[in-house]
Amino acid sequence: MSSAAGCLRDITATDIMDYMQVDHPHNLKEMWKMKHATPARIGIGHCGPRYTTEAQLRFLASHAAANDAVFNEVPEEVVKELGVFEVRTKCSDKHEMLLRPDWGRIFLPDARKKISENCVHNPKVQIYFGDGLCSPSIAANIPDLFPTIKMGLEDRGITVGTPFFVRYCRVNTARTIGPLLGAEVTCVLIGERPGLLTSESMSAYIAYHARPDMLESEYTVVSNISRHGVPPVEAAAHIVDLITQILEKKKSGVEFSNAE
Amino acid sequence: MKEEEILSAGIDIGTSTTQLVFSRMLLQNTGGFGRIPQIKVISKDVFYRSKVYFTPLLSRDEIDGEKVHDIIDGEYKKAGIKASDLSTGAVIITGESSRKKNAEDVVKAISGIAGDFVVATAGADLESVLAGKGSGAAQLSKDTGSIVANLDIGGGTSNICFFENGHMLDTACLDIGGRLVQIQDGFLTYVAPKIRWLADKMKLDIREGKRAEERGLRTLTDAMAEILAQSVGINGISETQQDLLEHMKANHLISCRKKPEILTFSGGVAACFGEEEDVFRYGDIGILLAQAIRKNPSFQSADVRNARETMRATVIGAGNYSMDISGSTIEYTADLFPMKNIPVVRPLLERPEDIPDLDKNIYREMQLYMEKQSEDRQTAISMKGLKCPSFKQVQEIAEKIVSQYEKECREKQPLIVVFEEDIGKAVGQALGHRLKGKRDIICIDGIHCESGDFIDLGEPVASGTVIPAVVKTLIFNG
Repeated sequence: MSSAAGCLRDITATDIMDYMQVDHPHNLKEMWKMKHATPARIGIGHCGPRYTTEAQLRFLASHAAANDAVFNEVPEEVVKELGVFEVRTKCSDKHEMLLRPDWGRIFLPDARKKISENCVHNPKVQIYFGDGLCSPSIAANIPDLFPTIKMGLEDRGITVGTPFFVRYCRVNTARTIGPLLGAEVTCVLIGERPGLLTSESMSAYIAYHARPDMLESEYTVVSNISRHGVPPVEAAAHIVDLITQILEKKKSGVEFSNAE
Repeated sequence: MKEEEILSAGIDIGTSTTQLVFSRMLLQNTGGFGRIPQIKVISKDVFYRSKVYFTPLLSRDEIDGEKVHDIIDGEYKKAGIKASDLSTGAVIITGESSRKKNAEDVVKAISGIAGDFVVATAGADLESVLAGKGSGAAQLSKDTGSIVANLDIGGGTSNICFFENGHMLDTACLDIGGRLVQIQDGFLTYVAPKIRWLADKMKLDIREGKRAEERGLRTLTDAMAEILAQSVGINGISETQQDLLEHMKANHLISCRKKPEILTFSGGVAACFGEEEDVFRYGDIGILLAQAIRKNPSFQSADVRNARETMRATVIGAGNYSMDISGSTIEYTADLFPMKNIPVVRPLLERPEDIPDLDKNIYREMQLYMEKQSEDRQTAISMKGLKCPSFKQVQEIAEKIVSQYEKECREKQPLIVVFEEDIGKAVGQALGHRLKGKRDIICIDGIHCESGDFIDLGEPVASGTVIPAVVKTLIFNG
């Protein structure tokens, strides 16, 4: 497996859709058509009842990338480059965030104070970013996603509050942020639980009048935002429309969809 | 949105027959929960097929527009369809008929009753593609993974289309058809000029006024069948045959180097495949040509499959396959639809490196168009676009488009932009940011059109999320 330079070959350099290990395909052309129709692990060959070594290693590599996406921290430089301030939830590290989902939605008094002091109050729309279960999604999507949403909303005369970054963040931080800043609509852009295909996807959770006793069904969700899914700029333009309509209808989530 | 039904019409005014179909298309959001909407056509169903009428003619080169109007009016009434029920559709004047001098007037005469969105087109290329889709050849190429050639042999022309994986590879059109020689009471009443030429070349005495002799006509139709076989390239082509092909082509021959693995036949002549007796029953050489094709050694050795539709392939193609729907995240600032026959200019934008020169390219393409047409008309700017552009790239693209458009185009003229990649809404909003309501914007995606094409944009469907579009390649070019 080693190349002439003495380094290990990077098995993930070939995309899974271009990786086929069927020994004697009956119809190679059709096989490739199927391969190119799905990123699922089909046509990867087998050795007896088991995976081949390379297929197994690929599986482990994807799994490791997913693990990393969950456990790695968003580097401070990334937050600095976004030009926003940072707060954290009650969790003190990733492990705590995973073990205590309830702590991932609440802020200690210091954090609440920092948010309150650094943000414009009573905006029409408050948008903030959270690492959630996928740290790389912040650097991968926010630089294109947020400016597009902000510009689109402001072009329609809708004020957008001060953005910030929440470390160890869960969706339901919105229940605190909404009332704290007096926002009519609260929108959290948060990393999605990674799968074996992409480890940089993000979702937008949008709530009209977010508050502690709101229902889960009051969130309107746009998921699968990434270069492998919906391009961030196009997702952002769609979110602009959604937020505009949510403000008009004064409701979000299931009730909003049913009102369509 | 759950499901939405839209109705489409297909009308084919051909050399020998005129037909009409209505189909029902179901649109559904296939995006699922939490996903961006993805409106797709999930089913197409032809629910009304008209009788097959002989195309009414005033003279050999004039269609009787009034009678065509009456046929269509009658069929609409019989089907219980009003023009306002239709979202899309196509009227096509095909085969030799498209060279009739009043084709354009006929389309105008019927557009009033046929429907506002129903479009008029008669390019031989488009006709070949529609016939191939209507015959099921396109689907067959997808199902089998093979290259499929459909030969739609009508009264005046043979329209050929190659498909691979459901996509058109190449088209051709030849002046070979069943009604190019006509017979009445045992005498030849019409021989088309190119057939005359072919007969002379073969030393056959086939002219108007002569007695119709089966043997000579069979020799002629055998030659016509062989020309068809050559045109799809089943066997190699000799130089003399190449000369024949060149002479019999209506617009152009197949130029792609791929060979078809499966053949299908559609059109009126293919519908005669089973007929044996009374060969001059239709007063033409259609049945003889059908028999000649079946007996032709080249076609016999090829893998020929049954078409799903024969007689009605073109009209079903027009009804079911002429329309595309745009992507579901698009931007338009005013309901200016329907818009028809908008010429397309296509500046290069496929990679990030293309952005700096985008304004120059738009300028050049628009100049080229205006020089050619010597008029200042509404155009649509079509681009491939980038797969996943950044915020900055989207802004740059919008800036380049707006700066060029503001310089070159009349005040109030709406800005129409058509992308292939899914970036229509993002760019649309970026354009809006710059224009601030000074102009209306239509910015859609999911549609491919080339420079020189024309595009029709229909009224938005599926609660305004998508726009039906028909891309037309060269109107009335024969």
